[in-house]
Amino acid sequence: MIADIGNLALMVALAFGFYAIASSLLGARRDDTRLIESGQRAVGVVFAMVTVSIAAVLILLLTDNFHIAYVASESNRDLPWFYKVGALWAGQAGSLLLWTWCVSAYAVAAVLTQKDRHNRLLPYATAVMMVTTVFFLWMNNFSSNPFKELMAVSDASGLSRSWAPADGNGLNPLLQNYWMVIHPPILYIGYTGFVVAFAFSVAALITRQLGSTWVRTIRRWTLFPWLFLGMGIVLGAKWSYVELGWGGYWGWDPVENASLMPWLTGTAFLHSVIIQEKRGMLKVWNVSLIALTFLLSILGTFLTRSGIVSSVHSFARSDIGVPFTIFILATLVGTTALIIARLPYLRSENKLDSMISRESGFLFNNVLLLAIMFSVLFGTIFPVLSEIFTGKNVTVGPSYFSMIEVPLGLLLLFLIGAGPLLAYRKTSNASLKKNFTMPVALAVISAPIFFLLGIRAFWPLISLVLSTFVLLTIVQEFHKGIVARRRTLHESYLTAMVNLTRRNNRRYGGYIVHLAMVVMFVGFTGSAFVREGQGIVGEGEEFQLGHYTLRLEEIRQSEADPNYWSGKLVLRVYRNGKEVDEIFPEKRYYYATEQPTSEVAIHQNAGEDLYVVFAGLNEDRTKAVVQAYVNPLVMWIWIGGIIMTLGTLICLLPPPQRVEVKA
Amino acid sequence: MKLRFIIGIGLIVVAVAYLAFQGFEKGKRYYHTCDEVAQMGDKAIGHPMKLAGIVQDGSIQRDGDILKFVLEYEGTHYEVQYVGSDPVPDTFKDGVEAVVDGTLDRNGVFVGQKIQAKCASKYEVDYEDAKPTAGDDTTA
Repeated sequence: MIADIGNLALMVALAFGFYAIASSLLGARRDDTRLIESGQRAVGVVFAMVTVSIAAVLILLLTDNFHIAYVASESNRDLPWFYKVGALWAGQAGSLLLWTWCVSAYAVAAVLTQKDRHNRLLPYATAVMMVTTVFFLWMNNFSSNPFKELMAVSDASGLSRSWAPADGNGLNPLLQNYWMVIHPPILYIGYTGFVVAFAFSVAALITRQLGSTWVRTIRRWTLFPWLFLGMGIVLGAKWSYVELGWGGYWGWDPVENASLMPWLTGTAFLHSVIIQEKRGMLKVWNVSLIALTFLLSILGTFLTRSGIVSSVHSFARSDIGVPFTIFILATLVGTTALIIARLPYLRSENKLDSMISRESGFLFNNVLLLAIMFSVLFGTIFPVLSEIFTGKNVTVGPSYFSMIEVPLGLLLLFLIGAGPLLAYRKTSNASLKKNFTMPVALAVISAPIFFLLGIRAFWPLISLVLSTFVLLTIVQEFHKGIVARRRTLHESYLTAMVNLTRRNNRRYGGYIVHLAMVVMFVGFTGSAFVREGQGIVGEGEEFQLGHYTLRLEEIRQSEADPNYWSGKLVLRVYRNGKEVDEIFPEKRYYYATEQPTSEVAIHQNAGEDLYVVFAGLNEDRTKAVVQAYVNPLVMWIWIGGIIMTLGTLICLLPPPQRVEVKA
Repeated sequence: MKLRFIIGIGLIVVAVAYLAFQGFEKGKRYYHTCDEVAQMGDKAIGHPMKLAGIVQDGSIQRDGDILKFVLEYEGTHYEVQYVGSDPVPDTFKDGVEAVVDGTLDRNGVFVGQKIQAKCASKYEVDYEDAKPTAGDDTTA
């Protein structure tokens, strides 16, 4: 019954999706407002219907309706309710439905906010957003339907009948973690959001209205999903760190790379679009970037959900591989053709004046971001291409990625600091001297200090020196603005800082995001100094790792949770002989999935994490095998994530009113 | 002016391509199932690769710091000695598909540095062929 309602809603949504496309395009052609508005209302219906089907899946999950294949394979009776909700995005069918929901929600939001602007772009943009929605709805209906029932041929009659197992297969225990419950939806809000910016750029190309209107319209529509994508990536890293138990947070796994790639091109776009706004340049580049970001978002979903990266064979068996490939190729070819057809309208209004200018800083930042993106893309899809074309199965390990991304990332870090100090058009020698002297001088002085503190390896040393440089440039920029304000307005230092940021929120919000990047780079640098060790200890015994001593007090076993059996260690942590913490690494065995997992215990402080995994019991089950890592500076990555969020939110604030009230 | 930009960007591209090539040579690993390695004969010895197969039931043994087990595929099997420092994944047990990163030594023992076992994203169970059993609800 509930499933039927959900299914019906999906069909209705598909029909209204098609109607919205046709009505919007026809309305735009004939300049018929009634048709255009009818198309916009249809967008609302699509969103409402997808919401109904999402609700239906949730009800089915929460009521343990194991007649439904999706529920049977992703949930079980004893699963806590919030993980049952989380099961919505644990499997393919559910997560694709969530995708559709996000895209249609964006479409509604775009229509509602742009409607009153008599925007000629809107009907075309609506059509593009609905084409994307319809594509996903098609898969929800026909390729990956979350309402499919379990069918079996029963008794002698030979008829197929619905059946349900006594209990579900259970949610993958690795996904039974708070970070995992919130990270996919946040990532999806990021992935899907680029559809709006893409739709408006396609509309601008179609209507030849390539002035500054569409650029201003879509800037926020890019910044918002960019923020969520960034948060999703950081939360994914956090999940990987606390749940997977291998001691790290980023493994250049295809699924991680999939989320990083659109973030990189989105970052490039957010920068180069400033040049278009200010100087009317880089227009072809910008439409290409936004199209690329959209395509990479789709590709990311595809890589994550089709199973193509784990093996080409599972891809061939999956029902969504072929439609995805067609959609990506069609979008790629269509957008490229459209851009080429509109090249005459995309001419630059200005040209680059100097190598040392803000424009060229942005240009090199873009080249670097794209170089990083393409090298990640290459490493991610090379194994797939190799298997398709040569039949040879080859993988590209993390050493490929670290070899190439570390130098490129550090070059980018340098530009984060240097770029904002350069003037538009041409930077005079005097201004170079004025802006660069202090940060460069102090960064140079910092090098021997870091060296004496024990940072002897080449890349980590470079990374910390560059971080110092960038940090100082940011401080200098704030200080300059604050001093200027105080001179005319006589505000206190702090008030001046707040008002400065508020009145130029895009600029100073951007600096705060830059600061976040510096903080994260410092965190990444810590990975060069990881120490690890293993102890096989019985109760009352201890072992040493660096300046930590770990003493096993007790091995506690428990069957209290209906969902899993648990073995927990009580470990007392001593740092330089002084007791600092008591931690409880845990091993769980989930009944429904018959799978063990490790719950990592982390003793955290600003300098380093002590990361401890209960790897299991030894042969005669009297001693615990404990794997421990000392991971320096990891906390700064999470702090960087928070600063990035704050900075972007400041950028997203509505533009301040220009009336200055003198105090 | 334009020329200088093209040179600048060209330099970046060349540097990236060089790094990519170097990193690729270092990071690439061919992936072979046990029977494929057997067919390669002596050529397989000493080359870093990924060996894939099924963990033979009851073959997992811990010998001090070293973990020993047998991987088999299509009738061919190899003894694996895992010497890596990371804990073995939770999914690693008898009968699972495992991929071991390492090299084959002269004695025909595969020395592994890293183990992967059937990964999380492949987790979804195929219910297409599942059949109801006693205790299941078959009322539609």
